Amino acid sequence: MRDRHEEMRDPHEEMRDRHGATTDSATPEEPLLRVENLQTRFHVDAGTVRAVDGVSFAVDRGETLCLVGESGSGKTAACESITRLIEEPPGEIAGGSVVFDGRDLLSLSPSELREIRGNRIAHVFQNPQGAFNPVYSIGWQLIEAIRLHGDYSKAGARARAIDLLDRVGIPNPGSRIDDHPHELSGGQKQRVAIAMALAGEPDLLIADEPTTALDVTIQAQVLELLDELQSAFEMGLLFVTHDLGVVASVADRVVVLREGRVVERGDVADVFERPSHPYTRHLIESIPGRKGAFDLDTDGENR
Amino acid sequence: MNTDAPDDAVGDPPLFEVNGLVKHYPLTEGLWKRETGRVRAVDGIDLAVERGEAVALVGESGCGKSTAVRAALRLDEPTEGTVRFDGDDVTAYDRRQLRRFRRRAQLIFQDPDSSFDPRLSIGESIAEPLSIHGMTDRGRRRRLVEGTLERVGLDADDADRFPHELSGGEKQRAALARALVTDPDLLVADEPVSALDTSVQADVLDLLDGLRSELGLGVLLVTHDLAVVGEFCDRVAVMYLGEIVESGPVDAVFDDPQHPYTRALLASVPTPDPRAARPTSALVGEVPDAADPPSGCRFHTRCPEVIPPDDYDLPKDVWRRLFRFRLRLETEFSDADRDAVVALASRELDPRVAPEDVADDVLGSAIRRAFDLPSQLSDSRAESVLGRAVELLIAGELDPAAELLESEFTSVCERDSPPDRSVDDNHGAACHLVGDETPTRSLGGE
Repeated sequence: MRDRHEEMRDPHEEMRDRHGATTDSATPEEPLLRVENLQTRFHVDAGTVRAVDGVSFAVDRGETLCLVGESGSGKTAACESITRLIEEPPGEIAGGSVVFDGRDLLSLSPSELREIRGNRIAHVFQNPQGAFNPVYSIGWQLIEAIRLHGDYSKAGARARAIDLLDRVGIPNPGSRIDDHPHELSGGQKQRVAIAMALAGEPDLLIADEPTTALDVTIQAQVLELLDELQSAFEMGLLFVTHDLGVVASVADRVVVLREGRVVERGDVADVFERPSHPYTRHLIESIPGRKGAFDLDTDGENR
Repeated sequence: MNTDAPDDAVGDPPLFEVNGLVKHYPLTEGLWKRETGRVRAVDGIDLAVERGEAVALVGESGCGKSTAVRAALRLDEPTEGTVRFDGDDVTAYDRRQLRRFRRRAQLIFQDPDSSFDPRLSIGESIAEPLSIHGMTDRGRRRRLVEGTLERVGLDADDADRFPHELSGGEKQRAALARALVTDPDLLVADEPVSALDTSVQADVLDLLDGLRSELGLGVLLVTHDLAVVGEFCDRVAVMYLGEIVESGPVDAVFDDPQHPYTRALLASVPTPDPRAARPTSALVGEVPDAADPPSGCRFHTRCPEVIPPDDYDLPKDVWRRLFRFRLRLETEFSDADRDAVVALASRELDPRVAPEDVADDVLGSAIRRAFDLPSQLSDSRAESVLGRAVELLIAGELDPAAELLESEFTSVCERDSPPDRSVDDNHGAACHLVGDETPTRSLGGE
């Protein structure tokens, strides 16, 4: 196991992993996002925390990669390092590279980075509340986001805002557009946050625990929505979650993190069916409902 | 679910029994606090927990499950209903009796952080209920605290640590220790593991399960997590908008769910199997406002199996979409929404054509598409009603369109409250689809 663990972190091995099956030596097409040997640290009173300690992964267009881990695994620090959302200091990106569509994001100036953030890479967070300004209507905020990213007239932007609200499944978007954030339920807020993230038609959507705060029924709706939107917009989706049930239903590939390091990676079916690292096995075994009489698989036909 | 207590109850009464529990919050207006309406957070529920038994109360957020247990423990005074503990009427307790009851019925919460004072050591926090309940001997308190800490899998020495030194899982164990230190008979746990990592969840649940069988504790678990229920509980009650819609043994309810809401909840849980079909969002929309619950069956506005009227012959899914179209027009659909639908429809056709220049029949089919309706209904009478409604909509007459649909497309589900029907021993549901005519006994009964 130890060897495998080391091997996992070898970037060359990883390149082979990624391209091995499909495009071996022919044209090594560059993925949309490639994170190599990322090192993110937090300098706190007690010393330095290596939150992300040499993590590498890649996301392609139209693909969903799940970063899985428990609290303290570094999954959020890793995805917030990509567009440098982490606070510096106390945070510090101490090493590695983040190449997005051929550009190294870690060497960009703050204004170049702002351009990419929102326009090409959008974030959705666990708590949608933070995405809104409570004193403005959701329409005002959406229209602002739309006009920031594209050349729209006022009326054109409003029509597009209604269109986006409709696409994310807000009922009666023509009147809801003038609602204020507090008038929406948690699930609706997350939908509108997704609409705002989509306003710039991003190439990559980074979603950090986007359904964790939602009820299962609403979670199912939001996951379905993300799936639809991903294929409609041909986005790459980097999905961060602790919930292996969610991973199984959304991921194409999985990267399992533990204490800032990658312990396992692979195709979602392989990871679930043949987990090679004991930690992954432990995670899968501890999913409630795995053992015992409750077998979710049998409930599929009950609709 | 206002049914009588089980009439065949023999021997000991259940440890904890709730009948017809109601908790309404009045909405008031003006200086004199005139009541203008009420939020029906809990609207007549029955529940029972036996010694050594784990019962789950599940539902989406906003369904009233936390309010129900708070009212049942008299942390909020219930509006109506009886609560019995060991056969005694809790609602009639005076202060002194209530304090004794609080010692025997303990509550733990989702967020262990909020249950500890950061300035007190874990030991002091755990000992607090003991001194409140009159144990003055320090040494004895300390011994009890240490014993309880070991029982929940912590070290006796952890008594001297402070909350910030503990991990989330350890803190939840300490919270459990504090609940157990008074030697309760009933433990009410409100989402006790949802803030914990999955692997830690499993440990805490195992611990809870061990304590239940070892100490004969009755456990009432309030949760939204059906997987946890399946793992840990004996019986389950499913709550929707202040009412219990289905209850029974966990195996029976999960293997053969009778209420469409239970089926939808189960279908929404993501399966930890990448090859399984992705969970489907069987439900549209969200839990309606408890201040203005839907008529008849409260679930009818979201129900995927809402019953069609007898006078039309339509495929089930078409009927569902038709009914949803009707509900959309009735609730908060405005001219702005009509215009938005029309604008979207015309842009889809040809962006260069202004919405007002699009021909009516083209608009009509665009509206049908926007609401997921077929271009032609198979039942000709239904088709003519829908056709007229769409015409009214295009002409900008929203209210007449909504009224027409409302008078033609009705369902028994919105007219009548479904009675509780029992399916099997102890397994019952309140839905018009449940065919069994035999009146059920108390759904919450044993």
